[in-house]
Amino acid sequence: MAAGSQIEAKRLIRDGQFRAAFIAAPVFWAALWLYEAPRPEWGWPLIAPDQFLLLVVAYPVLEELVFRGALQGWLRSRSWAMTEWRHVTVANMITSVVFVLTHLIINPVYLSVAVFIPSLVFGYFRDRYDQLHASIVLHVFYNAGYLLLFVSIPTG
Amino acid sequence: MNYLNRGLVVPAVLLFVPFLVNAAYALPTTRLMPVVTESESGELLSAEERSTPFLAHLGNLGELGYIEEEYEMSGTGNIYDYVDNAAQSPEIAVTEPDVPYVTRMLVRRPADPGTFNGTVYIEILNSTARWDDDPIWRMSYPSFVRAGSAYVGITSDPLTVDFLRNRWGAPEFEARNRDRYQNLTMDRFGQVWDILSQGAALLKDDANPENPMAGFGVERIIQTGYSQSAGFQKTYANSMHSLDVAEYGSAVYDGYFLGAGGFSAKQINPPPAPGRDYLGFSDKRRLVDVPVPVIRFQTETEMLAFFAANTGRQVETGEPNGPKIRTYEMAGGVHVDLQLETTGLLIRERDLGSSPEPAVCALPVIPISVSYIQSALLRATEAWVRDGTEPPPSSLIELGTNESNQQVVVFDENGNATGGLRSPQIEVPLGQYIANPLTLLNACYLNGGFATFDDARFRELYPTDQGYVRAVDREISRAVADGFVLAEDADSLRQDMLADAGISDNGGGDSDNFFGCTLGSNGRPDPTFPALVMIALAYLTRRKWLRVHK
Repeated sequence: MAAGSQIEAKRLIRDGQFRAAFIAAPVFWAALWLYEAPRPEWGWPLIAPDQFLLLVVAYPVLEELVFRGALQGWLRSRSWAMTEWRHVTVANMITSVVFVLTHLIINPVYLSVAVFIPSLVFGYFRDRYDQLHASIVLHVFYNAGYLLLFVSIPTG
Repeated sequence: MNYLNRGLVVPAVLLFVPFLVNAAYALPTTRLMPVVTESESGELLSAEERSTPFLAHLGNLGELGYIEEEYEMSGTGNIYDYVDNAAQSPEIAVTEPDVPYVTRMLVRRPADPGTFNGTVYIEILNSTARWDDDPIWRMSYPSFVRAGSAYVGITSDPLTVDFLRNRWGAPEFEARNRDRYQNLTMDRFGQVWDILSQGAALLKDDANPENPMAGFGVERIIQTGYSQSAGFQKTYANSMHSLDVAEYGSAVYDGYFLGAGGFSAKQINPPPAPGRDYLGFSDKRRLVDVPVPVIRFQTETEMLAFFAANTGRQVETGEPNGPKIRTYEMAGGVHVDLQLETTGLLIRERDLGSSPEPAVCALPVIPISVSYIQSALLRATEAWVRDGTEPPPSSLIELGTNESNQQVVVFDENGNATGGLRSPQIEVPLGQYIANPLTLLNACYLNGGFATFDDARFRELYPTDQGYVRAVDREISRAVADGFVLAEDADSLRQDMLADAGISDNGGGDSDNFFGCTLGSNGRPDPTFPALVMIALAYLTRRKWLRVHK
């Protein structure tokens, strides 16, 4: 099991596309930083670790299991959903639309729409590896970076 | 006269000195004005027969261990004028002695003298509406009651005396027993200074049977006033305080709390012509100079357009013999906050039988409470008077200039004032608090306007409701530690802030939601969370209906 995980980890690290997806996030954050000039409160994960773990670990893992695992996996069993356009499958596209729609339930529109591209990235790696570990790692990383850099969460 | 006789005369004269000194000032007499609501046979009297005070406390003071009594206060007051008005000297001299007056005192005190803490707050009842108003009491009475302080409101303007005597109960108002105030008389505004002076001196004269608080042992009196009354106070402090010391042997007012005033001070003997009753914008007597503690509390509303209160800005100089003054300017605070507005309408409905049509405001009224802050600063005034405890430091509201070189309040990225006394409500904002009349394009002048954040901005600041709750707790703790919110008000303020955000109280950490860990916007449980958990579990256990292609 551990050896298997190490192999998977090495495989991810060697994957240029995964590395690109990983690096793309800081590049995006840097651009957004220049645009928004946020004033983050760096210490909030220490003050509110439960909130941090919820948003950075629990939600990403659950969402990957549900959307990329259950939904996209179910769609992938349909041949029509495996049709690709520039390496993006219909299954991935549908899953990402549903992903956005569910975010609209409790989030403002702009934040919900903003998750569409990352969702496609997660879905791409779900298709690429036929597993969830890559999308989970990316989802956790994306959430952690955004919440740390751009959310001035006032905490007690 | 031989030496023996001279030797007897001198001691005899000295024996009479205390009486001569006492005779130099006359304290007023008082008469308790009974409250009559029932006939002798116990039947409820009609409105025209009932005799109750105007501006009685809203609610049951008895439940708080307090009683309310109304007294006629009768005496004579001198009319003063400035000795050297051209030099803007506060020194005054009597120009017309002993003009009779009969006014009233509203006394609210502990029923049990044993629970009295020795402090009386005298409020110069506000006369802007042309009838009495008691904003200091209405906004801060819970803190007075909890501390065991007494409160005395004094009718202080010929306009309001005239209202009580001649207009209350008139056909345009609710029917009342119009006999109640028929003795009242105050012909000249200039009598107010001696009325205030004599009223306080009487309250400190513990053995005087005319004293409504005889036997209570009043130790200190803090003069208070709100809005227009703060302009009275500046004049009183500058011109009367030293006279009191000369007349009574010590100050009758041990401290002053000036609430939400404008730029200037009332003239000592204003001419009858309207609009000429204040000293000029640049008159140095608009600044207070007394050797006892003074707290000047301004809301943002008054800063620029409200009679340019900022031109009367005054802070501690630090000079050894300089005035003991502290100025607080409350960012986001409005001249008439929700509590003051609401209770004012209730009193108007009860005592006058009518409420004005609610003002049409394009924006909701600012939800920031000035009352909590004022109560803490009143307590700080008392501590400063009582044992010299220094009141907390605070910065002033930041002012700048716009493109047209006009003075403006400097705003932060949310459009809220920077600097000043920061209440928890503006430190954990829910929107833009438009408190300054210069920016009140769509808001009511005295109540301000509130433009709430949209969901996106709210979530940008507070991604989770628990984050908001934590911020509230943090800022309230800070404000309590800094002395800007009383510890006993913390829970109430917290409830207000959570209610304003539409967030239910989850203790800032624990949650009563389905999975105990998440809330959506506006306090609604995040409905996706339990669904996510269930579907994820089903997926992981490979239930048939979710079996995935692998």
